[in-house]
Amino acid sequence: MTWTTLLALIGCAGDLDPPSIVKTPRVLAVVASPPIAPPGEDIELTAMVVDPEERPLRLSWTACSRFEALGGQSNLQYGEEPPTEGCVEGAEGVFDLERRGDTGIISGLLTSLVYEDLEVLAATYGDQLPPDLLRFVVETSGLPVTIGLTVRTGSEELVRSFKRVLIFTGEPRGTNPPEPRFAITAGEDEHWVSARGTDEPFTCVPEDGEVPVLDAGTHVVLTPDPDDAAWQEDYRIIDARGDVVDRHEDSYYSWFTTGGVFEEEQTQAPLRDNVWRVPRRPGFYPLWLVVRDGHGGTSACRAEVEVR
Amino acid sequence: MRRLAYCVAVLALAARADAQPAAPVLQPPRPLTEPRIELPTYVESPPAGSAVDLLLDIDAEGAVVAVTVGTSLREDIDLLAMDAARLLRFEPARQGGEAIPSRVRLRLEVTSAAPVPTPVPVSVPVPDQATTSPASPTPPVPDDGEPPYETVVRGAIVPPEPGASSRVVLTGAELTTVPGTFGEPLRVVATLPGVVRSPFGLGYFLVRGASFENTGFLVDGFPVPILYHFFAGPAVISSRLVEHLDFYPGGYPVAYGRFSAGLISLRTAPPPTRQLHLEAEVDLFRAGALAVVPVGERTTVAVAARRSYYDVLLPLVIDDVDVAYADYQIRADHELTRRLRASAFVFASEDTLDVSQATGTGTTVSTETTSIGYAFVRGIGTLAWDLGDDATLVASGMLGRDWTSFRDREPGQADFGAEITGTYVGGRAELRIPAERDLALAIGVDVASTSYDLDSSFPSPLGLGEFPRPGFDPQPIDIHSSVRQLAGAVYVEPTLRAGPVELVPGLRLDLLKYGEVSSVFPDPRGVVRVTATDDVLFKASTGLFTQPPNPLQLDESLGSPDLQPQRSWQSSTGAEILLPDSIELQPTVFYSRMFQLPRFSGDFEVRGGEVVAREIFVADGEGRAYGFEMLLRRKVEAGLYGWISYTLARSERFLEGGQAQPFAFDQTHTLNVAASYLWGRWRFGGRFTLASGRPTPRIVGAVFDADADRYDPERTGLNFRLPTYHQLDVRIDREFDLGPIRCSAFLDVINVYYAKNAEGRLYQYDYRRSTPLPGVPILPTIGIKGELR
Repeated sequence: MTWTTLLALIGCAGDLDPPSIVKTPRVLAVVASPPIAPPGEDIELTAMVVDPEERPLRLSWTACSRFEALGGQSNLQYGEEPPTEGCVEGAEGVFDLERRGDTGIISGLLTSLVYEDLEVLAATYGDQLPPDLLRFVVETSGLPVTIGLTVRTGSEELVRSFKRVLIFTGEPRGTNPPEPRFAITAGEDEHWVSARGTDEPFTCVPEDGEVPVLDAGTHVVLTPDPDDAAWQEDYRIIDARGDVVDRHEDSYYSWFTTGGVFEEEQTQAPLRDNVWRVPRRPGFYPLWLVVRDGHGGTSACRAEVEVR
Repeated sequence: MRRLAYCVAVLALAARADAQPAAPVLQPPRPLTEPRIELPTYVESPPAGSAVDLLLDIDAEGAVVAVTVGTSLREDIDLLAMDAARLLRFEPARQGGEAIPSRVRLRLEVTSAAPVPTPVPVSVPVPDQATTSPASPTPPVPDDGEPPYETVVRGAIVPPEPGASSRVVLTGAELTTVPGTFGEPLRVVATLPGVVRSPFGLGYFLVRGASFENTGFLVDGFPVPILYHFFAGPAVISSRLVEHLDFYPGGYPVAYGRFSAGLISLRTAPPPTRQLHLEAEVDLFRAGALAVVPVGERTTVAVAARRSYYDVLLPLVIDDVDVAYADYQIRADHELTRRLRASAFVFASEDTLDVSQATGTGTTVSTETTSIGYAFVRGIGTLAWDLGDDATLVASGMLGRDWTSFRDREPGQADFGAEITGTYVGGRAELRIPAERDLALAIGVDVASTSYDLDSSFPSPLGLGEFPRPGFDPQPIDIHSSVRQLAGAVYVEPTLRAGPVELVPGLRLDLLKYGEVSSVFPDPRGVVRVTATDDVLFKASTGLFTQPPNPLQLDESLGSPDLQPQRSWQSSTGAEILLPDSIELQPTVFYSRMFQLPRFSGDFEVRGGEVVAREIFVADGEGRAYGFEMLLRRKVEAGLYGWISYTLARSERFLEGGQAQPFAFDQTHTLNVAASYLWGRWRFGGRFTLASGRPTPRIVGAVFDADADRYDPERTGLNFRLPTYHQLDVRIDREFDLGPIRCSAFLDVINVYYAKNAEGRLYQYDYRRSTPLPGVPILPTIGIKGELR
């Protein structure tokens, strides 16, 4: 924060776009259900992808488990073809865009994780990780598998992303945060939107049934459901020294829109509130909220407001 | 042209004399020529009655072979007096009828400040027998029979160091008046060959392709942890206590070690004076004072202090940022006997930075704070024996203590902090023996003990089963440990001469004991010089240099106690050419091969088949650097000095598979042109810097990390360079008198034509776009200094 402030103070940011304003094709969230699973159990992957040009998209994925990536690094970073050893390719599909007003496209992909049992997993590590030690890791902290996602339109690659899941045989297993719910407060008016109780994926609907209407150019406060401590979980890791230590999840909120300005790109409990300066141009605007727990769990939704 | 007359009086005579009452009669030297000093019209007359004292070394022929300033009057007057003194001829001193070398104190007094139309002959009250009769005052002759004298170095001739293949010595005005250096001697090093620019002109040095931690900083022979205060502040030692600065870009003598590239060595001494001396200085950012008090004939005590006032100025511009620094020095020098001197030097420094920022919006607001503090104190005691026949024995010891504190508190996140206390004990002893005309020998020992106590909560590297969290929210790992490092070295450096050839083969054996390492590391080095003519000398050197790891890399829990020291094999060849008008030309070609370079690994490893942990540091890196340097320099004389330094170099690091990649700070061309001219009581100076841009990664895309909510850049290696850097700095100094106070004011403007240089690139969150990261803008600084005479 301090360095960002310093750079802003000396005017270094220039014309660079802030991450919270969506102008280009983006993967805003990837949800693995569940995020932590034993070998052989299905994991459903869904991605909240936005393309302002509303083009047909195709998603492809790979799953890689390699010793070199135990630290959770992506295998997609170096401008080269990702290594295939230890990787499994999944299915591809073409999905039509689902429109929500003028912007906001959501698509999803169902797949299952192909590591049938520990022997298959151990074979991918070979001599680098002895079987007994691999079993210990899988029972204690979980072993990371990197899921790579590539979004294309036609033959053009739009964006690449990756997400980690854990192969874990211990208890308890981590879960995703509940679907988001947040308040939009303009002055005395408070509007709650929620993705709970709706069948539409990644969609927050007004709890009172009315799309919030906001005055152009005003400031509104966005407040996530403050009851986040209830879903935060404890878990164990093997730290950098090789010791087993406890960790605790937290709640992280990432905010996105297509107009106006957020005061913060991300918020975190207890300072979970954000302030949005509403765009000056009237119209319908999306608000995306992605909630993460810092342990692979994710939930996300899109809400819509009207600006007059 | 005005001419001023000076009354010349020889105050004191120093000559070799036999202490025995029955010794042959001593006849002091006698001037044969009359000094005539013509002051140019633009030179302001000094006050009547003021004087400058000079020390003249006179050979047995009666010629003046060396002139130094004893008590300064004013720099421009001093220089004119020295020039005139060099032209003097003497009847040499005689003892028992035999002509002998001698040393004379010469006082030049101003007797008239008014311009006179014709030159007034200067009468010299020649010392006659009256000065040697028992009734006349004579200088005290000490018990050992050696004459009293003060050694004052100002624009001095510093004797060569045989074991150093390359050395640049800076003295006097070169230390404090180079434009763009804020009057700081250490920053002048950045303009010398072999040194490439550091980003934003910060005060660390990248020498001959090595990283900044590979060049050591010594004060009176002992390493110090930092040289500069925070936020591009001044050096931690007042420039007025710096007698001279030695810069070794590589190939430094075996008397020093434990740095694998170059050395910057400060030699301190109190300002020369025979009376109470007071100074004060004030500029935009700090104020300082210096007092030098002679105590009796043989003791001098100097005290200096300096403090910033950022804490007063910054609130006018930015809230919630506090920066402050201070430094203090106390030095005492005592002449125990004519051959034995002692000194004690204690210096301390303190820096603090506190940043607080309101954070949060809506209904919840809090404050995040960051605090950094660093302080150290060092005490150095030195005994120097003149053993006669040019043999010397110097023994010194050092005690030191460091305190480092860091604290970061952000609401909702773990607190991070560290308290590090370091303790240092060191000792050195060196014996130099010019045994025969063609053989000299230096032998010595150098011991050091370093211990760190660490009490900290650091951001932990990710463990197994752990995900990176959005934003920057690492989890803490507590470290409570102690690290000890012992080092002991012996060295020998013979100097062999055969005609025009001088060979200096040296050997240093360094015992390093730390962590799981306990070994002797030999560092053989050699220098050969061939004097082709009186004005041309060729030289070549080669040698091995060893540097132990930073103690913080050796922590048992989160470091690598078995980390091997890094080493480099350095070679160079070049020449020293003396041109007319005191101009020197030094071309040099160098090559350096680096081994066992440490790197942060972070890879997981299996230990003993039972534990999976991160491998933190590994010393398996290799690199090389090679290039050409040139220094064309005019030393301070008649108020003018300047140099042109140019470096053409390449520094590379080897990747896995042996492929070479440019070092992150590699800069192909570095040109510095610095000059300063004294015109009356004004000094005008300029410095121009031109340098190639540093390598920067070519980023071709990015991958979105859906757990950390950030983009990871896709790089293709360091094959893109920042634009060429160029900058002009100017400085103007003006001396003037306010009654008994001699004042000096300066204006120093960095980047005077506001070149918009890029120090890097700022990238958009997804790396699709970038913008240049601007460097230092135009930055003027003014200051004033007063000196009570």
